[in-house]
Amino acid sequence: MSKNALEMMNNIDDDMIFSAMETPKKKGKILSFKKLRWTAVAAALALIVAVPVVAETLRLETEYNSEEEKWEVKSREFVSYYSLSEEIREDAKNWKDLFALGKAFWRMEQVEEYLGFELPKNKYLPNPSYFSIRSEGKSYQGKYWVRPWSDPEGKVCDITIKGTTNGHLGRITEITTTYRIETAIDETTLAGRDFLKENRLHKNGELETFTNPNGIDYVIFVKRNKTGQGLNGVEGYIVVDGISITVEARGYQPEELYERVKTVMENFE
Amino acid sequence: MEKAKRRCVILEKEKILEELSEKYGKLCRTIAKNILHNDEDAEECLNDALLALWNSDFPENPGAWLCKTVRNIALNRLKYRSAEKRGNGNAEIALSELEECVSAEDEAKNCIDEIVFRDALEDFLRKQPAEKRNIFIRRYWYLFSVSEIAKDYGMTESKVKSVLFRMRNDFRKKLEKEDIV
Repeated sequence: MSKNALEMMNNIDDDMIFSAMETPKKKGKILSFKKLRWTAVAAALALIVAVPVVAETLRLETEYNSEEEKWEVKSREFVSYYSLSEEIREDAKNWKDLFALGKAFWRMEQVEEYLGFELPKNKYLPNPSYFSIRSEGKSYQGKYWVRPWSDPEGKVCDITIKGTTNGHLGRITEITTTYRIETAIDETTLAGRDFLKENRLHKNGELETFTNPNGIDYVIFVKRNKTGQGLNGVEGYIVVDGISITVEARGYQPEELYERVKTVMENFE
Repeated sequence: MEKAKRRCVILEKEKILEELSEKYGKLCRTIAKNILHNDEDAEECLNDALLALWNSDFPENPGAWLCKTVRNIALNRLKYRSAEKRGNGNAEIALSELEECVSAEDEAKNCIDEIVFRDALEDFLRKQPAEKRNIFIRRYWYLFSVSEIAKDYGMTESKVKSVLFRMRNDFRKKLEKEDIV
C-alpha cells in the first residue's frame, strides 16, 4: 500500500469529500438484454392496448372504423352519462364490464334523448353473424348478440345488447315496435326447468317479478359463472322494461350480486 | 468555580460529540467498513476517532476531521493487519490502482511535496464533471467497491472501471506534464 497514494487522497478538499456522498442522480435501471426483450414485449402490448383507447377518444367527434366501434364508443359515453350515482360508479369498478352495467340503466327515451333523434321504428336488423336467437316460442342456447336497432340513415344508433348466456336457455318472445326484446326462460323445456331449478335464488322457487317504487317491473336472475376464469365470478340477467340485460361481476357471491342489483333496481327511475 | 467551569466544558464537549456521532456516525462506519470489512472494527475506529476528537482542540470542520481520522485509523489498522500477509481486499485493490498514477513510495518521497500533490489532485478533480469526480472520490477516498458505485450511479461495473481508468490516466498525464512525477 503506497503511503503516497493514501496521503494524496487524504488531503483533498472537505467539500469534495462530502459532496461525493450526496445521492447521485440515477440514470435509470440498466436492463439486461433479456429484461429488455420483455420490456419491449410489454411496451408493444401496452401500445396495442393504448393506441385504440387513444384513437377511440380522438374519434369521439370524428369518425369510426365501423358501426360497431362507433356504437361501442357511444355506449361508453352513454354509460358515464347515465350512471346513476357515485355508489354505482364505485360498484362499476368491480364489474367485469362497465358496459354491461350501464345497459342495466338505459331506457329507450334516454337513448333517444342522448342520440338526439328518434330511433327508427320497425327496422329490426339483426346481424346474422352474431345472432343466434330463435323466436316463435322456440328455445335457444349459447352465446347471443343482439343488435336490434339500426339507423337507416347510418347515423349512430346501432345499439348492441351484448350478452353471454353460456348455456342458459331463453327465447325471444316478442319484438315490439319499440324494439323491446323480452328474454325469458322457457319453462316448457327440460333445460329451462333445470336452469330455473339450479340458478334462481327466489324463495318460492318461481320467477319473481319485482316492481320498484317508481313502477318499473324487473326480474333478476343470478348465478355463479361457471365459465368465468376468476373466483366468485357471477353472472345473471336483469329483465327490465322488457329488455334483458346480462350482468357479470367479479368478487361477488351470487347472493351479494343479487342484493346489490336489487338495491339498484329499487331506486331506478 | 474552576471545577464547575471544567464541568461545563465537559458537558459541552459531550454534547458536541453526541451530535457529531449522530450526524456523521453512519458515514464514518461506512468508511471504516469499506476498508476493514468488519462491523466491530469499524465501530472501534469510530470510537477511536471520537476519543481523538475529545482529546483534541476541536477542529474547524469537525465532521470532515472525524471522517478523515476514521479513514486513517482504519487504514492503519488494515496495514497492521496485512503486515504479515498481503491482503487482497477492496481497499488494497483501490489503493494499488492509484499507485499506477502516483508511482512508488520512494519515487514519491523524492519528489514529494505534499502540497504540490494535493493541489494537483484538487485542481484535477475540480476540472472533472461532478459525476466523474464523485465516482473517483467514492472509489479512492471512501474506498467503495466498484460494484457499489455502479449500483449507486445506475451504471455497469465496466463503465465505472472505465471511468476510473481514464481518470487515473488523465491524472498521471497531468502529473507528468507538470513535472511532478
